[in-house]
Amino acid sequence: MTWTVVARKEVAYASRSRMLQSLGAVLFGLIGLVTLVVWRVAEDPSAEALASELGVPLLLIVPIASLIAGYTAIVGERRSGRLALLLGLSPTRREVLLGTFLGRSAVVAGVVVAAFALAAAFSAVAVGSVPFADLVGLGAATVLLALAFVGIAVGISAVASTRGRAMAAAVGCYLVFTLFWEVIVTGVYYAVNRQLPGVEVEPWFFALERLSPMLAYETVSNALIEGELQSVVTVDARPPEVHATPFDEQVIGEVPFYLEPWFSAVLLLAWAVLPVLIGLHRFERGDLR
Amino acid sequence: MTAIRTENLTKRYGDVLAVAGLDLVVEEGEVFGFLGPNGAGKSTTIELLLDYARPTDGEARVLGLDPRSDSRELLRRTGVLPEGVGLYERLTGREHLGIAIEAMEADDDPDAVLERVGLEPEDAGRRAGEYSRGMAKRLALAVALVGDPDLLVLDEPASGLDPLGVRRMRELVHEEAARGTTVFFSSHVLDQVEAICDRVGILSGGRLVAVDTIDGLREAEGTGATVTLRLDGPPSRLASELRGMEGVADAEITGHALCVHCTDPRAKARVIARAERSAATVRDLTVEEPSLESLFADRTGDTTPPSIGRRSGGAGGTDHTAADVGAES
Repeated sequence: MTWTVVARKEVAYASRSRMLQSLGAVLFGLIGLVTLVVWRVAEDPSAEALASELGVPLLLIVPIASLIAGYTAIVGERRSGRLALLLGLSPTRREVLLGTFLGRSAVVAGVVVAAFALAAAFSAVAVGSVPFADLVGLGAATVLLALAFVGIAVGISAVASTRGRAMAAAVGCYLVFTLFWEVIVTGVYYAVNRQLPGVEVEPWFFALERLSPMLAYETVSNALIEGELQSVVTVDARPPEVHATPFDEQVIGEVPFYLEPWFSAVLLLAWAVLPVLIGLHRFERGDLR
Repeated sequence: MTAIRTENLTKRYGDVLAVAGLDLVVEEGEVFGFLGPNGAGKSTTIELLLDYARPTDGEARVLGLDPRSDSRELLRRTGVLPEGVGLYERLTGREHLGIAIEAMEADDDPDAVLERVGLEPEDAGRRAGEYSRGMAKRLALAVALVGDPDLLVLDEPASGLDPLGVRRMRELVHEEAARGTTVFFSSHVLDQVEAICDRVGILSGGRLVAVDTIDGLREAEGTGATVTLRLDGPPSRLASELRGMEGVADAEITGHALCVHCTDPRAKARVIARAERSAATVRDLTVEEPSLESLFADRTGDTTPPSIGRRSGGAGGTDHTAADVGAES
């Protein structure tokens, strides 16, 4: 099948990118550093603390690295003339897009898995044991996060007409999901209820919150690890008592299925798949130039 | 079987008509040159033939296949060298060919193909990002040749190549044509087209304005070759003899030189034979073929033609035809 040829080409090509190599190195460095710091320097070293602290570099770097890995996937190939070369070798447009998405996802996922392997190795060296359950759980969730953002970026790439536009859209997505999401969701709540969300809130508010891949990731991770990820949410309009209140008490009424952690995992997959499918639709219909 | 057949092939971008009602037939095994000024629609036509772009109207059949629904089979049997083709700058030349060989399900030897296009083995191991423009073009051509295609579609294949590269390209086209490959290539440089094509099509403003063999186009144009003889003595007697010959329009005298205008290509040889039999000794001889320049300019409405007409010849005389012109300009 030619999509495997495309995917393998993409893995070779993307993994040699200096930019991605640098980002990978930064992620490696930070994961290693945090691991060592938690085990050696922190007041209360534990698997909980490790998983929680790792959340910071992961949430900061993985989305950006994934977006960068993906945003040139199609538009860059189109503008450089490489797409013309590839399509002349008989893959269909579908195979090109899927192979490219898979190849780039594999590269980012590979870096994530390697970083977690590093954390495991450092843990073994620092304290003689490896918190497997937490690292595997967090690692799996992080891979899903990476796939989500690669999917978003590839979808953007398939639709954008220039690399500049693709980059702008990718940056915009990043800012919306990291900085503005809480503001937007709180704003919607206020528009509907004429008041800010309190300690107890209707379930749709949370559903809206968790549409963001970042928050979906936090939900999935927190379910898989002992403690809780250090959140990078910047605006929290809820009252401070929220932090002492367990989640199922925050939800007015029963906790619906769409607020279960597994649903957030599904949502992350949807973020990986849907933008790619939308991009595929446009890519298959249009002209090359 | 026809290799390429289009019927009313049309492509509109917004309100720009890039290709207008193109009816084109390219026979199997032909070398067909697609000529036209920049912006005439040559690249667009090629894109339509390969499903890189979708037609607004009309249809195309390539190797009997529909470019869109049979794209995989079509591209397996076709070698493509698109204009402005890009390479994977972080992959080596050999890796490029590996991808091509795998995608085309061929069993070519990468180094053999690279040798054909004139790339050295040590270049094959270097990243394509380090290639010069000419090397990049050769690599792209190598990729196109993978899988022994039935049809070669080359968009401006000589652009970016030095004269040696252009000659190698020409030789490759000859080799492929000898193997029965149909070659369809576009160019805006007349000299290249003249040298290797069986037939030529001229595209202007998206329309096909002429299709014929080189000689056919020349005859249609009506301008013939000019044989210029430099003689020992006064040429007036020879001049009047030559004027009476069939296929000779006129013979102008300038000092000891005689410019004989022929309307029939075959008259050139007769003129030279007659001149050599005459009393005056022929010191030097030049034959000026009418290049397609004027035809091109006429048909495309260009007042500044894109390339220079060619002279060739030397002491002793050379009667040449389009097929054996190999001189670099």
